[in-house]
Amino acid sequence: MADTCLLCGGRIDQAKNVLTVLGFNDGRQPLCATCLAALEPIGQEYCPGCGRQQGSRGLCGDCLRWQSLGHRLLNNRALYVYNDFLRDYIRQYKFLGDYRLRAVMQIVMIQHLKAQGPALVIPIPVSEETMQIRGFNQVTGWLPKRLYQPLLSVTSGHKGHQSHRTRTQRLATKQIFTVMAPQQVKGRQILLVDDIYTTGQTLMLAAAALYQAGAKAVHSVSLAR
Amino acid sequence: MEDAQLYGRTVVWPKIKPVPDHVQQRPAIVGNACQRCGQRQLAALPRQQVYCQACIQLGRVSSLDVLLTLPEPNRFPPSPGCQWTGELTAAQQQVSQALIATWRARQRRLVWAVTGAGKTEMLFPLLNAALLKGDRVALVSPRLDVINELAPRLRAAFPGQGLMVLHGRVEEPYQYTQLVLATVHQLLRFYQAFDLIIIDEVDSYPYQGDAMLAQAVRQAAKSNHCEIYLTATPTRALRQAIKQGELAVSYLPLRFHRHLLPNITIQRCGDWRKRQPRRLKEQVGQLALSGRPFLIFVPQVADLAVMAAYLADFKQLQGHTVHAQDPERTEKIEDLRAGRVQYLVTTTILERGVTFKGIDVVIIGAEERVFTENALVQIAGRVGRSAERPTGEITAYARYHNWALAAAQRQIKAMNARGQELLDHG
Repeated sequence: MADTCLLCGGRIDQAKNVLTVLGFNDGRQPLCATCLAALEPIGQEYCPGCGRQQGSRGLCGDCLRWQSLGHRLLNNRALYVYNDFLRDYIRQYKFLGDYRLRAVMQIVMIQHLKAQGPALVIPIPVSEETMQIRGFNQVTGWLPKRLYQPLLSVTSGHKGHQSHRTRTQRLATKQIFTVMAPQQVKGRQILLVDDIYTTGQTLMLAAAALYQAGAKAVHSVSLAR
Repeated sequence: MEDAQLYGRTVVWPKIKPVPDHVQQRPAIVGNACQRCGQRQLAALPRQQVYCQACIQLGRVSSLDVLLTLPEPNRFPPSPGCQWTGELTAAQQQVSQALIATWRARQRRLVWAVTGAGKTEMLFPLLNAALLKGDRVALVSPRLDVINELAPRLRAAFPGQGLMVLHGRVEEPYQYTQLVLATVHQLLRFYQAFDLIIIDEVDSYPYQGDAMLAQAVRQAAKSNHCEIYLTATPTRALRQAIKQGELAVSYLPLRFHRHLLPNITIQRCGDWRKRQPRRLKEQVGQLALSGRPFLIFVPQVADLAVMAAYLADFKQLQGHTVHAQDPERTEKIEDLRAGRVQYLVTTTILERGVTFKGIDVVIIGAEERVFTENALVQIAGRVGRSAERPTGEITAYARYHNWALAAAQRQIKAMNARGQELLDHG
């Protein structure tokens, strides 16, 4: 049986398996073979601090810098290298706003989260202003509600578009996150979820807010690094 | 946002951003229809919002937005007019006058011009009249190759004329200009802007039968406007409209160099994907020796590799394969034009719009469905475009003769009969 690839509109010949034959949509591949091949999953050698693909398993320069500034590392685990193809996907999904494209990464993100072990999952939030313009949070688009708690909020006008800022500008931002129900995070193991780990600034700020509220440990996952 | 950015345009604007007082707004979505493209292909957003999937590549339209516009004021610097010094043939002149009359009366007319008839130059007097009067004019085409070919010719003929070229791959930001050269999709960004819309290749995909694009033309034009259609191969619907007197038509059956159209020669062959036909190999050998450029049309993208493999036997022969999604499309076309390669193996993407001097054409798998009557006529129309070489060969390799091939030969013959009449009686 055939379907169309969510990204390029090309044909996908869905491999016949028990699930699809019985009519369950979970067995369906959202991407065609060509698009699938363009994704670069991060292999066995990555930085244990931020998940960046590299030749060794030692801490990278960025993470050593964070440590030297007194931050606890996030042990971020990323699924894919942030290559041109993923950049295109993010452009279409997040910036163009094609909400349907959330389906492309739902299955892998859920699996990725579950593979990190039990934790309180908190997605990086978007501002109310973003909800009025983009209309959705690109991270929660990938996750079913039962898997996370939206315990962080962010004020408008501060977060801005990280993508438009220089590295120095991003690192100079002050705290923008608020913990909604501090008693729920006290003493807990927390797993933050974001789309792209660029400098780690966003996740570090979120972690700082959570530690301040009494969280025991804050780690993170991202779609890409 | 500057007012000029809004004249005759539809700009998508989030509801939470304040709108300047004098700017007109209309809802982005009404019921289940997008107000920009007219289609009913809505997808869901959280909080019960919706957005349009049909026209999203132009920027998303959603229920979180409104559409802004300002009425077209025709506020342009005086047009320098046409500076082209060439001469139109008597036939081109006649059509040109008819077009101007249609434009004055704000009506519609089809120009049925053979491939290479000099349709572009024939438009110059009409463009001149409309631009000098201060009309806003759109020249629209379905394909970006054609737009890319037209732009420099227009710039040369109308030097200093404000001209904006708009298609999916354009980098420059929009500017308010009197003359707009665009692909049909880009018209969706206009609202009651144009006094004159000229639609080139009106029969071509994706325009033909595509409701969204017909809507785009309707919406981009002012209520009282003139529409001119150009084609070498009108659709059945257009031919009907002409027959029933609903659409005025002018014919240009002769090429600018006054030679008739070369017709298609059919060559029977076997399963060419399995084995290269002997006759094809001979023909390619002859073409290689002649040094003349040539095109080989194949039915599907997958066949490009098959043909490239056969051609690889000819060690001295240089060429490219090219298809619609090819990122180097423009460069490869330029290579052939500049003589850096001798051939291009291509899908039907090159069937129309592009001009190469003095080429021959080979079609393989000519009996397959993708080669419709009109496609074959258009492909044949690539040959004999220049005065230096007004003829050429079109060989169609087919496993069997079919209706489309016969009809294409008939159409060419019929246009040539009209052209011959013109030659005999002036």
